[in-house]
Amino acid sequence: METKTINKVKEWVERAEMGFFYEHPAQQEAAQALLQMSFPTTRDESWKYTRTAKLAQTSFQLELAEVMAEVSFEEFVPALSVSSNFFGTLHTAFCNQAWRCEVKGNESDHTHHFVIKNKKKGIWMQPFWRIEVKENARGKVVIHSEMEVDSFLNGKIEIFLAKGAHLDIDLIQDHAETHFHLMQVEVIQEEGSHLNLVTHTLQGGWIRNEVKIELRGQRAHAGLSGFYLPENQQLIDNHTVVDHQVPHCTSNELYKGVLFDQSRGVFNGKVFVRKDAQKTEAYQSNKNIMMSDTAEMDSKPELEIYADDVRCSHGSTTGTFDQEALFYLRARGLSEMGAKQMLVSAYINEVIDRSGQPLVIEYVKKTLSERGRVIAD
Amino acid sequence: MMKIENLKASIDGKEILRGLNLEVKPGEVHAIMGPNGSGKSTLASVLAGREDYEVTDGTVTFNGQSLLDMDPEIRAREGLFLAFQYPVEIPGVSNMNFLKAAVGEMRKHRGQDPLTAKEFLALVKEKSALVELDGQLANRAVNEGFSGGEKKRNEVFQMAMLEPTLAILDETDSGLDIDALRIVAQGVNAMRSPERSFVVITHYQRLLDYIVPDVVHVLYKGQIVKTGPKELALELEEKGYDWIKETVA
Ligand SMILES: Nc1ncnc2c1ncn2[C@@H]1O[C@H](COP(=O)(O)OP(=O)(O)OP(=O)(O)O)[C@@H](O)[C@H]1O
Ligand SMILES: [Mg+2]
Repeated sequence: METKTINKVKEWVERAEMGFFYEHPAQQEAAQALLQMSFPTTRDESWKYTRTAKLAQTSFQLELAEVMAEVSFEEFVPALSVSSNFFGTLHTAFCNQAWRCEVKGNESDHTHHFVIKNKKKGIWMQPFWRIEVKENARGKVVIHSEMEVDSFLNGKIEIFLAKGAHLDIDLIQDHAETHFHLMQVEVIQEEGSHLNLVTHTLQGGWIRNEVKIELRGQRAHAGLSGFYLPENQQLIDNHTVVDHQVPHCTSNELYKGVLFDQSRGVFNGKVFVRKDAQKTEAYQSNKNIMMSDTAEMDSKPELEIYADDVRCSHGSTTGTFDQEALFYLRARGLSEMGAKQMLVSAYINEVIDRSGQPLVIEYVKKTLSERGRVIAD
Repeated sequence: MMKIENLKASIDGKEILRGLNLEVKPGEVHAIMGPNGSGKSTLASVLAGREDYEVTDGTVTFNGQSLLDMDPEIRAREGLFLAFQYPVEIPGVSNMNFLKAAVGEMRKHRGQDPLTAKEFLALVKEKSALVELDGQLANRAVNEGFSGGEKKRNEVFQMAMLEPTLAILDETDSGLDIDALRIVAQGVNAMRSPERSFVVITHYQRLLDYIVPDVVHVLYKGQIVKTGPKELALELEEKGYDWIKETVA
């Protein structure tokens, strides 16, 4: 079993023979390290509920993704570093596309819009983004992934928020059921900076988002939220880490899901409050509605608090539909389907409305309602 | 309009309605009174189509069709309306969107064209004025944070919007202050017509001073045990239910 998975990694490394794109020593180092690693299995604590076997066994070919980036994103040579986790190491070794975006002034009425697409079967993409918001600058970014066919994207977004910087960033994920998607988001926040990250998972077959936020400067605030509406046999996994390293920072996290059919949802949210991080306020909530008996949600909030003067709360609920509300709507003439759609949209609008970008809010609501997932308001 | 014959219904194996008979003709107003727990709300829920209750026997014909065979939304579209005793709060669903959808379904069912946004707003304005419902409430989430009285007024407002042919009002008077009671009753009276019937469930004669019923029924232990003219309500107010319970026992 073990050797078999290692072999899979070897195949992946061999298949990526187009070389180390950036001739960066870290790429070779990572490729070497990979040969000692295996695809995560459900025995790995952080992969307990998410299987990678099907992904590992597919022979994807490393290629470039099609992008439609605004001029404000420019290609660049990233400073790659060796990661400790498998997909991070894979990303470092074979990253072949990278863009950066710098926000220097107050751009609150301008959006850096990045669309990454794929219509080509069987390919493996390794994109990298770096978003840097300079001191006291304000920026808005959208990264919109549209993956139409069987393919795999192993991506990474690095975000740096300088002192007093403010960033609204929305990830819109809209993928075919046959697409595998792994997105690591790493954020570093300096003093007084403000992050508002919303992940809109419209659709996808296998999605794993890993968001890691380091609050390094005092009075920084991180808002992170997301929704997911998996159906059929789709899997949506959100792993988040918020690391409160210094005093007086706040974080507010809300992930909501509505799960249909035999779909699976995973939420794991870690909040660390380090010893020095007094006066931390950290709130985390994961709420789910199960629309079928065969859907499954594994939700695990984890709080690790080493400071004593803090206000933290976390909660996770997984329940069924509010039957009273459903009956009330039907008793006024709405069809069962229409009533459910109305209740689902009310439920997830709380997340969508957290976006700092009205155009994104409008787009996401419109798209979901056009697809009959919700009734728009 | 509606004929209920030998209706029996239970919940969790417990029989609540035990062979109930009632006939409501077009244009009539029936009052149903009766002690707590006698089955009044159960009757209303069964008629509206709540699935928690199991109908074990009996028939209900509504405008010539079998009501019990219809889904709740079809009953509503066919002209049945229930003003709930405890209207549910639905966070995130705006009253306006909900009503727009409901009115849209009704009109579609009746073969009418959808209202334009302008016509819809005009209708909202007209009907909310009828029950003196604060215009702001229409923009909030359905019943969320509404006071008890506001929830009841919102029910009557919805009734006015949907123009049912048979409206069942389950204790719509409870929790209303004296002015609100008068306003709600005026709303109902404004809707009275030879084609529209009402079943008014109440504990208090007071409401029936405003909405004058054609018939008063007493529901006790899941059956209509007494039926009389509007004066019966006065008698009940005076004497309570014991004398009726005795005649039944
Ligand atoms: N979900 C339920 N499970 C078990 N018993 C129930 C349930 N719902 C109602 N009942 C019982 O059915 C009986 C009738 O209840 P119902 O609400 O119809 O009474 P009511 O006449 O409307 O009373 P009130 O005047 O207090 O509103 C009561 O004994 C009640 O406890
Ligand atoms: Mg009752």
